[in-house]
Amino acid sequence: MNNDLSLHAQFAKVWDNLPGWGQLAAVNHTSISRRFMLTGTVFFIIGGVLAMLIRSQLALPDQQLISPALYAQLFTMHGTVMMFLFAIPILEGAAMYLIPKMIGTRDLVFPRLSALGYYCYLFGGMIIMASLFLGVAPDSGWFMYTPLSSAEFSAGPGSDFWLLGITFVEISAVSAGVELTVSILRTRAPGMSLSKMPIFCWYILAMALMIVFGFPPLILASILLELERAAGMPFFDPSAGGDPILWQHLFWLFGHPEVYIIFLPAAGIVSTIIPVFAGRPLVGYRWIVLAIITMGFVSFGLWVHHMFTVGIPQLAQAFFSLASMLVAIPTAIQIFAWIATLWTGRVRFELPMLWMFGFLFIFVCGGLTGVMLALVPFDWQVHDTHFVVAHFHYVLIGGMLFPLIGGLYYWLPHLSGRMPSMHMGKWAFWLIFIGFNATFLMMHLTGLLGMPRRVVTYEAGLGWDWLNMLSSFGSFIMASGFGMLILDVVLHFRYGQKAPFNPWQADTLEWATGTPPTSYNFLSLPTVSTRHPLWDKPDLQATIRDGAEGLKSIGHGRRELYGTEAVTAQLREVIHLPTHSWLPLISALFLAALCISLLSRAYAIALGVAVLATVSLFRWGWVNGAHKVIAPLTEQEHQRDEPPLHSRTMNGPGLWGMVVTLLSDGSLYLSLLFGWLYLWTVAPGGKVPDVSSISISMMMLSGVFLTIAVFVYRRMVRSLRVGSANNLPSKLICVFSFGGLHLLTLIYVVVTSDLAITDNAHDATLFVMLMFLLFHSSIAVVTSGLQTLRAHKGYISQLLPYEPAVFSPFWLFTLAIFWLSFGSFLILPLVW
Amino acid sequence: MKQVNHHPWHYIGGWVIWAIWFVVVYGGLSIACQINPPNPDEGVFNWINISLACFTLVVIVFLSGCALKSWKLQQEAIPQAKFPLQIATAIYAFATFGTLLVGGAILMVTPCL
Repeated sequence: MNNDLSLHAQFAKVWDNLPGWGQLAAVNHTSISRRFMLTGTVFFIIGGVLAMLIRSQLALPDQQLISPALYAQLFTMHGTVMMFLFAIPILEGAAMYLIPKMIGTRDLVFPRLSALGYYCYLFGGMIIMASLFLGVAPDSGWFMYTPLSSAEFSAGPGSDFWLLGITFVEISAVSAGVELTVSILRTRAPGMSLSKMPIFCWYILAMALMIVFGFPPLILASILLELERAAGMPFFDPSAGGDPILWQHLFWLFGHPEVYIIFLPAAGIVSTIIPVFAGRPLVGYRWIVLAIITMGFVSFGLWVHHMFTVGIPQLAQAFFSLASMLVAIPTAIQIFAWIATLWTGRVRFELPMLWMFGFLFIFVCGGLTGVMLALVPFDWQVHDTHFVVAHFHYVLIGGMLFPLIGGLYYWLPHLSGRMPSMHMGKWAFWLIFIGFNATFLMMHLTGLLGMPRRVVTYEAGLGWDWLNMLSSFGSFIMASGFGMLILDVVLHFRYGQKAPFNPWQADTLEWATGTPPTSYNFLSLPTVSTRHPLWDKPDLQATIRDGAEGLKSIGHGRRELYGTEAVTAQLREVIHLPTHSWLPLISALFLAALCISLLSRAYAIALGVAVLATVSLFRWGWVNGAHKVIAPLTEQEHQRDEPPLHSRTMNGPGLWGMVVTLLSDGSLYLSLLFGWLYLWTVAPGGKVPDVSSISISMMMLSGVFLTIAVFVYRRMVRSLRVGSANNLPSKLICVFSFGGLHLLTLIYVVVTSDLAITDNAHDATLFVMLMFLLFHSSIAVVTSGLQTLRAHKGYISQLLPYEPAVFSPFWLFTLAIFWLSFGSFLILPLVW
Repeated sequence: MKQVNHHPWHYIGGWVIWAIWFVVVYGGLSIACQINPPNPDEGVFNWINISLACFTLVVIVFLSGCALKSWKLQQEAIPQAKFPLQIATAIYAFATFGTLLVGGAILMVTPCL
């Protein structure tokens, strides 16, 4: 026992956060995810208050509680806060909390990225909220359609707050997407093959990859609109070859998958909870995996169904209408699987199950109105009415919030070690359930009666009066339910009964960590041989706690976990993680300063803090791998009976993180390419000049230098792969030199180009493309320069080949986008 | 892709092909309507719809072939390979259905209107 305690103390010393202010340097997934969830809850309360103000204004006809200008800010901020600052971050937080525990590991694979993501979210959220308190909040609706959000019709800084703040927050979302993807694929417990993975992890894997692909179109759109507003580049101005419909395409390319990004993790909660309370495995595990993958893809093919009224050709509308109906099939598969699980199990009606039944009822209703809206003629009739508002609240509150609250009650004992109150929980459920239906069922009717959304008031006698009154009354009932829920959760930390081990008799590994969990989750890492480890091996928690499973050595002082094969989960390496660090906070502060200085159009300051942010991020990259404070080469590491450390291999998590990040980057690039092709071929005034404003020959020369740099770099990596590190520093210098020549030539091309970036959208788009290339080339060259220094210091060598292998895909990506841009942006228009 | 096997690509292969088909059909339709819109009097059977239908048919044949192949393979597969092959079968079959369903509009709606 003393031995165990001493082992526990050693683990705690390595894994616990710093005390006091040092908490701000925490990178541990349990701490960071709790912060995500807590901050998300605060934003939910703010968004809820905004909703109550909206409903108060609409309770009676001809009411003047709120001015039209303020009302526009309120509904814009309500949607923005709920979608960007509550729904996505809180689900990410839940996933970040649960995933490592469910897959039997100690932390997420890029802990400093978790911390950076959190601070970007916090600061971005604060910047957006500041606009409300300053009275200059965005007021163009949460989807910021142009030209309403453009400088001409939104001259104040409201749109800028939205565009810059949301882009800042999206850094957080994409970083969480990358990190969850790699963690799930590469750090599952040995033996936990994809077919044995908890179903929740499948949902989160799909959600994470959808974030990776789905968010970049909006990031690009935000950048373009901000450039239009701040620098006069006319991407969305039809008089200069732009097109406001391009904004709608880019926004909904993100916006529709976003709905599924929110729904999938919530459905994952349902698929986790229902089998536990039915006391049997989930019916149709394979079918559900099929449904998850299908939803992940098909949801990207639906975006135009938000744009049925903008004049898109009928055949194209038919494609999207049918695809919208297609997505109902995987949804139905899941619903039938849940019903079958309940039907064939012995259901225990505990508190979380109430929310599951509420979810099933409300979500099915929302799904049915969704199928109605997929029908183009029906959509034309109710577009922009309260019917649409009712539909998406049924889908989002029913499909996301109810499961989330069910999940909260389910995992509350895990989080706090105490049980919630069944009595207060039931009250909260019924108040919210009744209040919700009273609020939003009525809106279907007001919508069908023709009440448009976003109107500040309405005349009496249109048949909307009593429905709106009832709707507002229902919203106050719902709000009192949320008050009850919050009270229950707060009180349970003090008065809740102590939770026993695995209080719901669940099957997944997170319940083997102890409640509340330790900072390292598992003292020893289990090997998994079934889909239901705690049902099939009830003593697993004891063997983990007693150190009878894997990787229990801690004397080295490193935070370590197992790295496994993506499909089979065979053990392949030991991953060492960075410990607490101030760099994420410092980097996020610089990025926040950049955001604020751009908002206030203080471009000199913006440039200065951008440099500081860059230095901070490169410093972060420097303290990595075999750096002396992370994992320097030692003799002892070969003497223990464990696989090699990942930084001694060529296929560690960094490589996976790089590839997944580049997928996101590629999505942004393809969105840019789409935008350019769209402006060229579809925009009413779109045209390309007869003569290129960019020197084709100098671009080619730049490309030749780049190609040589990439060729040398990849040959160097190939040599390292076969164990040869001959002339490593000279090869890196060669790469750096040719990369530098490429970069200088590219800068020359930009400086000498004759682009009229404020006169026409075509030239403005070319300019953005060139900036995109410059950004990537600069990172590639600077990083290779730093790698040269690292090779001199011995951080890269024959025994430490990791870092060049990680960075190799980045060079390849830079090369690919260069030649693709050259071919499509410069050559294609000339030969067309 | 020469053949179906239990490589993880096949977890998503069917839908990736569907997505590419979808982008080509939607993008192709938009560009074709800008370049040379057919006379509406021609109805459904014009150069755009016939081209899109032929392409759709090729994709359907390919996807259904993959579904059939993975179905046969999973029947003889070792236990560890069964799961990915079963998922692949379902994904290819579902993607075939999705292509058929969405592509069906090509035979019913006149383009560029």
